[in-house]
Amino acid sequence: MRDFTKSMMSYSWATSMFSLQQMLNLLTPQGRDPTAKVTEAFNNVTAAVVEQLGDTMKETFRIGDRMQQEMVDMMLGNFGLGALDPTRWMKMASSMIQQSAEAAKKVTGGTTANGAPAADGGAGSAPSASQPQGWGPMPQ
Amino acid sequence: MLEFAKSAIRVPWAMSVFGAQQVANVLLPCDFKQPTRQANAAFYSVTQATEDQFTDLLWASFQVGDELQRGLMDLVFNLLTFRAFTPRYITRLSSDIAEQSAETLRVLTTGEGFRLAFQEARNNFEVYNLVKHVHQLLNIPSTGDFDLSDLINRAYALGQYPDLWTVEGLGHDYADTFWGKEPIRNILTGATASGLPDKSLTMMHAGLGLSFAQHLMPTITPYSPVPEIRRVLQEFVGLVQDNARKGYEGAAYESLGLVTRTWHSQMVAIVDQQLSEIDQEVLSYFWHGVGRALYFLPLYVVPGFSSPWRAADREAPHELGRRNAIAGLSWASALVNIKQPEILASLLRYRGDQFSKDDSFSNGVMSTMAMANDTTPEDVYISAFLKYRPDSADPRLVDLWNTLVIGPCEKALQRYYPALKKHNRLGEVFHYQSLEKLLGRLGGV
Repeated sequence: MRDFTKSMMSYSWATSMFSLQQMLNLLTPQGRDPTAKVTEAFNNVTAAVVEQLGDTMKETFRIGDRMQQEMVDMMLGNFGLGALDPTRWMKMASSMIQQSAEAAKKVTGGTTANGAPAADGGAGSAPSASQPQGWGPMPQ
Repeated sequence: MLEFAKSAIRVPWAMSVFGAQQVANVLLPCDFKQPTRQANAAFYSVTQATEDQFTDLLWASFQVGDELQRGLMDLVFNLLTFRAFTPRYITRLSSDIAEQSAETLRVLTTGEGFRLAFQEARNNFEVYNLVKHVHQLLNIPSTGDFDLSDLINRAYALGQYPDLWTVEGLGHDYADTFWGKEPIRNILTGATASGLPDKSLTMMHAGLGLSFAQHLMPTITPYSPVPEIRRVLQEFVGLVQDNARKGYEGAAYESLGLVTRTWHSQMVAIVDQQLSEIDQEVLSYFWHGVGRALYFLPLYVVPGFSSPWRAADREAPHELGRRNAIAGLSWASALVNIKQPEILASLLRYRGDQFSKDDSFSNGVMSTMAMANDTTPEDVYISAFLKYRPDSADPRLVDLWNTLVIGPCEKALQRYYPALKKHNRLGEVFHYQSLEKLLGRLGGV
């Protein structure tokens, strides 16, 4: 329990610092694309998080993610005009229903023997993130 | 902008699903004996991946906060389980508080104490910059085309003191270029490295070990299967043996402790356990590296905030580790502050009694002098360090300085260094041991 609390606290602390880091990155942009570094950081952390999910949760993440991406495309793509197009909303809704049905199929086929969700979660796998930066007597 | 928006909304969604996954992991554990193991492993991996995205300043802040919250959690759990009310715990806690208060007072109440603490922090920052920016300082080509002789000359052209740190950084960068080209063999024994001057070898090997440890340690976590951890550690040992020159392996082994304690502190105990079964000598180097890492940890860099000496004394679970950690810490402390011997003298004034208990402090200081003398022959800072004498108005300090610093250093330079050089065993100074006994085994000078 002690280790669990410490791990959870470390994770929360890291997440807070991560948000702060990305705010700083946005305020002090480097290079042509001011958001490139932040986008990369977001993608790296998301990849590390997804790696820790079991099959069911991975599928849940994918469905929600796809829906979010389409919404962003609609809002920000084509100068935001896509958001006013009812056909696109219809398409998105039907695609979501279809994906959910597929996911449900996968999940029911992917339950464990005792009926519990496959909470494999990639335990113990090392993060596949980039190399850490240097500190003190250690170069990058 | 579109990509940025998509990535930005993906993170909170991923975190939410991750949270749900961890609830499921705890409620429906695979192993009921360790119900939180899966969640712990997941938290650890994501925290490490998040840390990798920090700049140095934010990483340092994270480290300080994390170490403090872990300490606080220990206290809370000890209170809840009534362990905190045992006489042993209370005595230990009181002594910790008293020691920490003395340390803070030493720094903050006297002008001299503050000046020295500030100077020490500056030295630490200088070393940090030298190693961190070795690429720019030496103009190392990003293509990986290394003209080692030329780069070594550039490192030595930076002058005495920076040379040592930049050679270590160069060794690291050079070894990095071999990574991914299987098999990794003969990095410092092959033809390209044959022209390296002898004086660069100890720190080039230290850099080599850094590179190996930095590549291998992120591939395991405290929750990885034991055989996997063992395999990675054996791979590290094998890589050092395949790439280091005979007699210099110790310099490379030591870096494993440095990397583990700095970046993967939760792995220290498990690496200790596994190394004790793989190779006791490598374990000894490992703890020396842990001690060296303590000196550079952000938590201990802030003057008067916290002391690495208490950590060196407490972290090791056995005497071999404790002695090596203290030797490693005194090694770094003496080397970083070699230009201002009064910093080491100030340390002796307050911790002399602790250092007199055994020879681990002296061993670290004498070993670092032997190594620095090898890396920078006729170093003006070594000569100045040896000539320094504390204020004679404080006879206790003068005595401590002579017994724990000057005597051992002179012996190291006049007796041990020539013998180790002759027998090609300079890597031996990278861990705690009786150099006198080693000399006996080698057959004397």
